[in-house]
Amino acid sequence: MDTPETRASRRPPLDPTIVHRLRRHGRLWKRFFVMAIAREIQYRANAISIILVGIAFIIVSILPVLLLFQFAGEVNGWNQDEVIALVGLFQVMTGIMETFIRPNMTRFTALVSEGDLDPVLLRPISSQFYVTFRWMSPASLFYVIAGAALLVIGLHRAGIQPSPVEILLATVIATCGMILLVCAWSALVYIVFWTISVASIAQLFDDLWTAGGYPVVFFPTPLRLFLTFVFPVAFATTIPVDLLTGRGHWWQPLLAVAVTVVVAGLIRMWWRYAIRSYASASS
Amino acid sequence: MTIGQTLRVIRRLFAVNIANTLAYRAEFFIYMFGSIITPIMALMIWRATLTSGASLPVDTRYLTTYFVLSSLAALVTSAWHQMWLPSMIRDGKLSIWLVRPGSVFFEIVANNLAEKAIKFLFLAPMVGIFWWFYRDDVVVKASVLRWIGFTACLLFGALFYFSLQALIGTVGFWWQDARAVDWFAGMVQAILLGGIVPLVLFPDWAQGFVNAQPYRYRFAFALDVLLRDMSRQELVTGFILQAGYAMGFAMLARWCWLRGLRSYSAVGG
Repeated sequence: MDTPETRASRRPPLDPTIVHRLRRHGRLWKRFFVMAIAREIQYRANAISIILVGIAFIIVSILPVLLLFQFAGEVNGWNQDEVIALVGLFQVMTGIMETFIRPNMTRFTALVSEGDLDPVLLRPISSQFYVTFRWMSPASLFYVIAGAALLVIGLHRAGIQPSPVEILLATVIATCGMILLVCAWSALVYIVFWTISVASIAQLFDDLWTAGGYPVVFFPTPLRLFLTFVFPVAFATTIPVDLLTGRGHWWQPLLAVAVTVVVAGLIRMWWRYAIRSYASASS
Repeated sequence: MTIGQTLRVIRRLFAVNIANTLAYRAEFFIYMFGSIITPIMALMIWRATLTSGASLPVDTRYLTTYFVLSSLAALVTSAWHQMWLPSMIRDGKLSIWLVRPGSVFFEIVANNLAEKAIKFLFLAPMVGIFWWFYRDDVVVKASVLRWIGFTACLLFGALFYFSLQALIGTVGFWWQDARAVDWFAGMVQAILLGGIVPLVLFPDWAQGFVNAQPYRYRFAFALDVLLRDMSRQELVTGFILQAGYAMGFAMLARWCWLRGLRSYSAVGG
């Protein structure tokens, strides 16, 4: 017996290929960003306070470095200007996280515990993409601009002029580092499918993230390994600055890309496994 | 209400808050784990600086003991009601406390003590491991008098910080959102508390300001009383300043609270 035709069966697939799927998600991301800017314009006082806090955050990040180097010209091979450049990159990364990732991660507990994930799962969109990138805080891009300025000042004061290839490789590693950090944070918040709340995870992430404002060589070897492979801040800050200052190695970008691909795949599997435990609190 | 009645109410509220806190055991464990990361990290950075040949005004033993004890001292003197007091005012949830015979601050005090008790149970073993790891460099050679002074300073530090957070919370009577004030205060204290850089390591030209600013008197002064050889004049000046800040901020918070109550319109009530 023939299966009766429905309106749904006659429609062409939404995404014939993976390229179409990526393009459609890219367009959605752009829409999210435009909506976030509109919201930011509506709440101007909030945006201004974020910028003021950003300025204070830069001072807070750089002051310990200045205080530290009043006693030593060099610490484990790093001088003050190189560490200032690293603090600049740390600010850039903080800005990207604050703009695109944190607003989503802090909402995740409520999504799951209040059943708000239901409509997300019904949408014709990757639910993992949606819960990771839906919300943004464009005012936090101020951190990125200020951090980039600090990075350039640090490199200039250190007398370092990286070549275009070094800049490209550092960008590749920093991007991988950012993706790895998003994966680490996601992996932690997905635990909420089995627990009541993971609000403290954001605090824990912040506490660990602070280590990114210092070169990992400042820490003992076990912690250095932890900050490279378990909570990979080294890929986001230390290794890119290492490359810019000519201390890096050619294999580091390859390692970063390989690790990122593997970890991103694992996080995708972790999401698929975790979502099976979602019981829809609202139903 | 008499003192006896007040204490009875706070004791009941304390028991309720203990039960509520225990419902989120994992959450508090993670919070405490996070809170010990900063002192560990700071200690490692300063030890790396020392091994790089830096000449600091303090030695490894002072730094190690300072950072091992700082997480416990920070817990004892902590307060967090500035986070929810403004939303309580804004949403009108304060109304219910205004018709009760007791103050909302009974609940705030009970919540503060209950959470600290549970947090201490989680933090103490972590500090113990931290201590054991650096046991050769953790040295406290203080007289009984110094220990008494240290305890008194911590209690005054707790009163000062509790009052400061109440003061920040009262902003909610006049502003829709007091988060920016809280963020800004958080940024300032990140440096001036002495949690990452012990205040004694600030440059000489800044020492006058650093020693006089109020954040020193949350826990850094108490640790200095215990660990540093301070002159009698330094100790007396410090005690007077700390008592002044604690009482001053408590009175200021009370004054602002009473002023704020007059302008409270209880939108949600």
